[in-house]
Amino acid sequence: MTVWGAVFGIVPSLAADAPRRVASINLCTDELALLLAKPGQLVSVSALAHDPVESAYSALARDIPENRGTAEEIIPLRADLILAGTYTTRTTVGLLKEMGWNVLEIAPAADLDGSKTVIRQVAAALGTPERAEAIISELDKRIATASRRIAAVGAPQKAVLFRPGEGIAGVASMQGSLLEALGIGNIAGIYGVREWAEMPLEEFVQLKPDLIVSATAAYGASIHAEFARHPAFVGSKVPRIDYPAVLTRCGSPSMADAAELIADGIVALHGSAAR
Amino acid sequence: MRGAGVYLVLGLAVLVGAALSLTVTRSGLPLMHDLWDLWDTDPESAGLILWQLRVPRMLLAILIGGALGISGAALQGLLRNPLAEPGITGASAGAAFCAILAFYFGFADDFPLALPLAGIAGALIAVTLLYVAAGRGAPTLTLILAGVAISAIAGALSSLALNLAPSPYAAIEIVFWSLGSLTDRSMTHVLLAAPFIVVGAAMILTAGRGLDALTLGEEAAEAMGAHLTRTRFLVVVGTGLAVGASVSVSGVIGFIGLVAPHLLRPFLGHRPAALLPASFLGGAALLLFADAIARYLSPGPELKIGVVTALVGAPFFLWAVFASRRDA
Repeated sequence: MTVWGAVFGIVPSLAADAPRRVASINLCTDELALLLAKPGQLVSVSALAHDPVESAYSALARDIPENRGTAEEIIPLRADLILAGTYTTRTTVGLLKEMGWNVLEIAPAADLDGSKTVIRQVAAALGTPERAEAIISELDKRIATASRRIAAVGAPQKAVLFRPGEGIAGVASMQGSLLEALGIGNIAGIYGVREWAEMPLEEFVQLKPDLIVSATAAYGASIHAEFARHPAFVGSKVPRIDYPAVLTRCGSPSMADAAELIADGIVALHGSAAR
Repeated sequence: MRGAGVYLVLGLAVLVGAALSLTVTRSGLPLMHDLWDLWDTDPESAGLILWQLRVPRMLLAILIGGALGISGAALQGLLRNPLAEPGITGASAGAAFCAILAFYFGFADDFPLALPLAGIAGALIAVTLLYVAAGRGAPTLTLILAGVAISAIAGALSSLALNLAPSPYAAIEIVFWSLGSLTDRSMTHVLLAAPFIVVGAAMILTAGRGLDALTLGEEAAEAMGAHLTRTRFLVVVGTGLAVGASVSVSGVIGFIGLVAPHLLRPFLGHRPAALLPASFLGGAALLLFADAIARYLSPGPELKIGVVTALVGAPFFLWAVFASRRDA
């Protein structure tokens, strides 16, 4: 059904060369496109990309016009590549594809390995594969360094990674795979939690973890925030490290920042325990 | 002839609403251009937006608004109760649940017709249940309670689907879809829904005489030679087709079916046969205007059309409940 596109001749044909105008309508593809695109190549990102609470790279998005993921905004951009997620703005994606626009749907990465695949996938589409390799080797290097720093002081073996209000991160989740890469034992493994599970506070108190890592969202008021303020959560004697949830939301290279914050935390805890 | 005047006004309202639907652009978004400005700078994009986005949107508003309006009038006639409506009777909720199943458990990808068919099945089940539970001139309270119960069952099942959704992202999508929207639908959606809506509306229209007879009570109607079984079948199946196909394309848009016949009754009287076609046009005009207003007012995030009709329609419903108490 490319009738109108063909009549007007404005829907760009699928060329083998790198796209010149790229629009992204999904937060996670925004993050990767902001990192991987050549200057001027990215013509629009979603409104969430500008929000520092939602996006790890809001600073990079400052000068790029925002969209709310509707076709009326995207069509006049004449983008020759539109990046979208597989779960959001489904009707818009369906419509744009039906009209013949070049839409690349990127499934959210499940874990750290998956996120490297996604980085390479987006870079290949943007025609910047060398950037992907540089970013991935930097990511690997920083995580390896963080992991060595943790090993030097003794890695916790019964850690629990909390996403407040959502439960604990399983071994096969994005956050769980980061713990694994850092050599930290994840209590979710013992309980057979693969992706994520809700963790009632009662159960959490009985788990007796040796470290709480908490991915904390900085929303104004939220049910999640109430959970994080519960005395059972705050008052447990278990040492706790917080990092901004936004760093590991999409599995972007900001995972390395989370890794370093966790390593800093463990090293600091060790120092205070030794004293 | 006062009927002719009413139809003239309704026809004009639909035309004006359609023109608004084609021309109103969402405000406050940096990348959103007014269609006429865009026509000067980038006529090709403007053409695509007009023909591929605005025209299907306008057609869906007419078809879905019409389907909801005529279904509301038909249900009010069949149940002899001015508070009946696809949303309140649970038809929309049933259709939404089955459409969610088709969407998120993959049938809709393999087989596009699965979506309207699932919606129709859900609406049919809900309307049949309602008719069994509260048909034949049951008191208003019974009707509303039966509708609440059916909506609650469908809502519970939808919540179960949400609960079991494959990921938090899918859950959010289900929630947003069920709020009701006409944004970024395509001609495919129009072609998918239109045949069912047209057939459903036609079935309801042929039930007009039977519904007229029914206003005198079942026994009187049968004594006059009306085929009540046929009338019931036409209304139940026609409503199921029209509402189910509508909801499966747009999500739940409530209260149009309640408001349209109510606004028209003072002008056209209480005869269902006269109200049915007028309610189609009235529903179409209401949804066209609601959609244009919602688009014009949308701050940053899209104001969903189902939210707008509920915000206006729910207080109207409350008022109608008070009004019916006063009359009783």
